[in-house]
Amino acid sequence: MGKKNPVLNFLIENGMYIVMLLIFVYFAASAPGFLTANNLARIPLQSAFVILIATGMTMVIITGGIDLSVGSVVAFTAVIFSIILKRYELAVPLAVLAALAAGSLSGVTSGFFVVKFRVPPFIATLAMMTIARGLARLFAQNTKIFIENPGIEKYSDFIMIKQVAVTEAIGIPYLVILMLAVVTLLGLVLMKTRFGRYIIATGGNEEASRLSGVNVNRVKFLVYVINAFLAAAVGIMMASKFMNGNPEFGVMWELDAIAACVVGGTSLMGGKGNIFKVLLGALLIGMLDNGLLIQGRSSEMIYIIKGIIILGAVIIDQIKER
Amino acid sequence: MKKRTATAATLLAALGFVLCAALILAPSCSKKGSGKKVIGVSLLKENDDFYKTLKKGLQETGEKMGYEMVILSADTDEDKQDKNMDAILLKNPSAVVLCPVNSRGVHTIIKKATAQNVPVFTADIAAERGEVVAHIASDNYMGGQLAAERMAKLIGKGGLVTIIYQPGTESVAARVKGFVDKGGELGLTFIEDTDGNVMQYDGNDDQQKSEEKAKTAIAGNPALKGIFAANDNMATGAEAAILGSGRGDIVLIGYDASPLAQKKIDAGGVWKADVMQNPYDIGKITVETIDKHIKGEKVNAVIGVAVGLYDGKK
Repeated sequence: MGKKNPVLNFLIENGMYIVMLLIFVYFAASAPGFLTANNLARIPLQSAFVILIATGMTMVIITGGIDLSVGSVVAFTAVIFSIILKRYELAVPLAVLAALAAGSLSGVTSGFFVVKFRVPPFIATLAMMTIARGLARLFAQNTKIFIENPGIEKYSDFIMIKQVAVTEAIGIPYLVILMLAVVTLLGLVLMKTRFGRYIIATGGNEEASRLSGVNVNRVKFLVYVINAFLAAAVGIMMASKFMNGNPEFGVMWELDAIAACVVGGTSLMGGKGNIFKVLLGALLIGMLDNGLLIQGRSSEMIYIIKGIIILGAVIIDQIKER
Repeated sequence: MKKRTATAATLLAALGFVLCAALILAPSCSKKGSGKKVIGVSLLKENDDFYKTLKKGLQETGEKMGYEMVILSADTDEDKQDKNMDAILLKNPSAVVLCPVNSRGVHTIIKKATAQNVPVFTADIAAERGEVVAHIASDNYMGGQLAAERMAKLIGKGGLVTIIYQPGTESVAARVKGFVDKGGELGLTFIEDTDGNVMQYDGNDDQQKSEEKAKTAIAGNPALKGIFAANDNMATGAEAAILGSGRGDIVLIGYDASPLAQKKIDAGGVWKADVMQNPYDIGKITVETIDKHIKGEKVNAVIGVAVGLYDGKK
């Protein structure tokens, strides 16, 4: 389309970048304090948790699936991690491993039902979303589990996780470094490896992929496990950052992650997506959150404006497809 | 055909953007930097009546005293409260007010402000750790006392009463203590547990659970004349239990005076009265306290805000 109108064509082709730029300029002009190095550096940090989840989510969505359970898995893992540390006083690395395993198990379960029983991913992970949230509340007895072992803030291995979550090296927060590393790794896996090509092929045409020898079930199963693993890692860092396991962590995060994927051009029909563009999508949403807060917006306005911009960015992407 | 849909979609998108641009731009034109001293606030939430009124108290008093108020909401999300603090500190505030999402963990957020020498105040909910100049909140102990006074007046000396509460919350504990202390003074008797201590039924801030517990209390104590529920949620459960067991003579007093509770009290059933907090005053006194602190006056570390009683008669 649009062969006759190069300007329109250009605008639509680069829709997301233009929206990002417009929002940036708008906040720079209207939100005093937005355009400071201090604040701009903070946007990737503030978005890092959601970006980590969104990278795994991108893989799931490319296979044609969806994962609604990740926000709950964050809470579930944070609670499990805190309980293991507090009640059983296990060594920190063991607690991390156990919590990662527990969180990943939810991905194993979702993936199992999607693959073996052909449960639609929306339903399987919707069920997992309420189950994981329920389990988090059950284990935490509907309250927060505080990590307050005597001297824990001095354990070197605990400090390490906490440092990743809250402190910085040479001016760049560890969490941002970790986030960029994960994005780069999984982005490359998706673009350059056989597994990555299988993911895209599965989403593009499942039947054709199966016939040409791709183990479609294994691919689909693994993306849910990877996604849950990332959510579990985020849960552990949330617990370390705030020194407690709160069963209400991560409410609506799955929606932020899905929005980041879609704004970043991932097709919900499957078969198409790029983790690096999803990173930009997540940063766009993070920038909106940051700027609107600096303007002193009420939370209901933030919800509304965010929704409109996400819709706008996606509409542009849809037009491009025609 | 295809082209027409594409054009229509483009128009739709453009329309959407104009709409949202207008939405965004409209309210922000009016407020520009004013050179006033800034007070930044991170509320626990802003979508319930209590916090709406508290916000109004902060806003109106702040404006009257010449401060620029930046009032954000954490939506009961610790991570959002952390981001609220980041946004507030960009404005070089003279003071920050927090209604902590997490009393025990909020010190990490408080530290961000104190590291920049910005004084921190807490309102409604206290911080367990961290450097806070003053905490301004309802006098919950006084609330319990008021409830006990009214209870004694309604059921008379020697009347048997009991308590539905929720463990682990400091404010609720203070309410219960006020009720027990004053009630004892006024000659009320309490259901006791096997050790002879005042029995407190755990309603877990849950209607269903409170109803079950209240039913148990009523069934096991035919002489029971009154129930004090430490908040309206639990009072609603207790009311259902009283009505369900056909004991319309039992007096119920709740806490918070939510709109629903006020309606029930107005209707004149078993629910006779409610302790009523003054969220507007909490906001107002918080700003006044900050003003004193900024002017170099000494302020108390804990400031109780008087509560009242709602009994439908006004």
